[in-house]
Amino acid sequence: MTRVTPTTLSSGVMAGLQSSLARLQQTQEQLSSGRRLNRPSDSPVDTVAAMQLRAEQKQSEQLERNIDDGLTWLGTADQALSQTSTALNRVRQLTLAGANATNGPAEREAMAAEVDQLRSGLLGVANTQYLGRPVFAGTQDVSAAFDPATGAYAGNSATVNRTVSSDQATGKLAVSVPGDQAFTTLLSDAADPTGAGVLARISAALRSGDAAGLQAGLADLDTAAEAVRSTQSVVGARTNRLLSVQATGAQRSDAVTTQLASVEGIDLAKTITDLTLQQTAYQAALGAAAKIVQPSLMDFLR
Amino acid sequence: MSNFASLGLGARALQAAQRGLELSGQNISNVNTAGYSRQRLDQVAQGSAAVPALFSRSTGMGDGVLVRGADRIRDEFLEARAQQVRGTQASAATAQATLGSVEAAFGEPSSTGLQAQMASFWNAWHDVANDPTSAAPRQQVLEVATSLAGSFARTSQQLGQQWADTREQLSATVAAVNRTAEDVAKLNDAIRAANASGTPSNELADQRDDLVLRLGESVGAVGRVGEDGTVTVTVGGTPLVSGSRASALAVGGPTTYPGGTGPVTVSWAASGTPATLTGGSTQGMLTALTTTIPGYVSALDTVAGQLTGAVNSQQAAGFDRTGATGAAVFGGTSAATMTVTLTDPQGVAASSAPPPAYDGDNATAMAGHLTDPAGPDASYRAMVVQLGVQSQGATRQAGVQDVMLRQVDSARLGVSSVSLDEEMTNLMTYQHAYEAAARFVSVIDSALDSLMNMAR
Repeated sequence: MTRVTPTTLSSGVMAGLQSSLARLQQTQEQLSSGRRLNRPSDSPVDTVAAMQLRAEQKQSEQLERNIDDGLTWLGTADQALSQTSTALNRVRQLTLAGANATNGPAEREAMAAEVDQLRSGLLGVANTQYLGRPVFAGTQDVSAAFDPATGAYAGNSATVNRTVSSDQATGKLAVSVPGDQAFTTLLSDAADPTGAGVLARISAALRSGDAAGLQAGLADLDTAAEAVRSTQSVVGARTNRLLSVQATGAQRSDAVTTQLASVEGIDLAKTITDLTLQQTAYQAALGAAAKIVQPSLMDFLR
Repeated sequence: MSNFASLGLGARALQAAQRGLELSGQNISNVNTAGYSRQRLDQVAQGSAAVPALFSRSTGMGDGVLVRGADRIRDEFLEARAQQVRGTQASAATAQATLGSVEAAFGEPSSTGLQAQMASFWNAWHDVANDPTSAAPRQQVLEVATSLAGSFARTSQQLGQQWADTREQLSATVAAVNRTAEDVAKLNDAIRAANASGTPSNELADQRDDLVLRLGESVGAVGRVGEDGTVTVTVGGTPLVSGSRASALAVGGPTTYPGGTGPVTVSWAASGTPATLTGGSTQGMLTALTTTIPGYVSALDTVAGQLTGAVNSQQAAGFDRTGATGAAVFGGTSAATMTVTLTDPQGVAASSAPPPAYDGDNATAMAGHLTDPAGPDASYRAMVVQLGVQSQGATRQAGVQDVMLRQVDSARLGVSSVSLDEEMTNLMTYQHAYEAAARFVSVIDSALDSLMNMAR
């Protein structure tokens, strides 16, 4: 049977109080930081999950920014193409009116001047920029997609891409359209001996009263207008796709945040209950210690 | 047996009771002394002459009590066990503290640690990809790169500082051990002399055993009591203190990390052979200096090297703003020496197509390293998890050793510490014995008186 002496009693009491306080301290740390996981050794398994989730969180923040930027690109292109369609409708009206033989040279001159004006307006629209980069030049590093003097296409056929999801294969979306696909022969035509585009040809035909030229120009104009419309529908489709990726991304981001909170964060109700229980246990231990350590035989001897 | 001799018997009884009272007083006054073992009176009954000889006839009655001295009550086996457990507990506690400090240096998982900073760095390349021709996102990338390199260097430097602090602590501990060993040798000498001359040595023995316990805690030393009352203290089988001779330990190796040649060693100063440490805080510190901290520093260096290599080779695969192939962004051979060597924002290689085209595909490819399963982020995560597992294991081990130490101490102190209740009871016993002996003396006195008055 082991002897129990004041020394062993007090060291046992102190050990018990210390372990009770250590538990209390841990709960208090969790409550004040709001996290269950304050260092990797608290739970190595949860640390793996927490670090991966944090990486994913950072990634989806960035992807959201990429998507926003891509949507603005597509929006700018869409607006430019709408303006183009409106201008082309007016040119069509003028062409049809010019084909009417009752027009005199002065009226035809006026119509030709208007077509010229619409052409230079269209050139400006085709050279739309977003943040200093031409929207319709592909990835070519030029200041304008179409040469202001000749209307020749100065860009390339590559597309500007944005990374919108973490999937390596399907994560990149094109957010631009090369200018030669959108505006085809409107501003300049490689098949023409002088390189003049459809609009320039229509303007010249109006001035000279060339009816056959106007007919050919009308057919070319319709083809080009069709190209603009189909480009606009491509842009619209890409915008829809980007919007749906954005919605999915937002959902995923919410799910990741919730998961991270469940892995790292405390259950507030449970932790507060634990704290209260541990405080009660600590006070009980203190009370018991006070009762045991005091009395000895000396109290009972005379 | 004459009446006069009975007076001597009475006197001896009074003396014995008085010695008993004094010894209880000694125990009571030392109830809170650390390392004190309670003492008990060693008294033996005196018989009459047991060897038959010519003039040794006796009536057969005893001759009183003889007090041979005071016994120290302690259990040698429990003491040896306590030394061992003290050593392993100190080693485990040191390991736990080391890994805790390494965890604090990394500070993961958090939004300010290296993982978050690396993610910010990769994401900054996305911004360059979104706007490859303008200068602002490029400047941003270089800024983030600079702060990332600074974080790597700072973390590495913190670990180096921890190494240097532990090294200093090791030197101080070994110096203290050498001094304590010398003190034990001196006490051994004094105890041997006292035992030879028959003077009491219990208090000296208590002091010496306390010092041996401290040696156990520092170097995992174990003591064995010899025939003449001296203690032989051994470390890993080799004697540290033998009789009145004390050996010394020495610490060798570099004092800064990294630096110097060879690892840190603890060896015997006289012969230079390495000491076999089986426990103690020195063992814990030595492990930290040779294995734990250098391991994590080199793991951090590996991550830094992977990052540097990935970024520089991706940079070389693209074209910068001037149309040339991208130059290296990071320089340095380790995490501590990691710097940003690219200062011109125009040098950021965003495009994968040569001029005149300029897309942002190279920057997108660079940003894609965030999710690379063989990339620096994945290596860093693996290292942090390994740290967590090691630290958790060390904490558990330290907890187990704490419990064991408490149990062993409780058993050991149960045998050797003073119980005030017991001392009170002993006081009463010896008080009654004294009263009874005094009564005996007065009875003999009145018997003698009657004898004197008989022949009037």
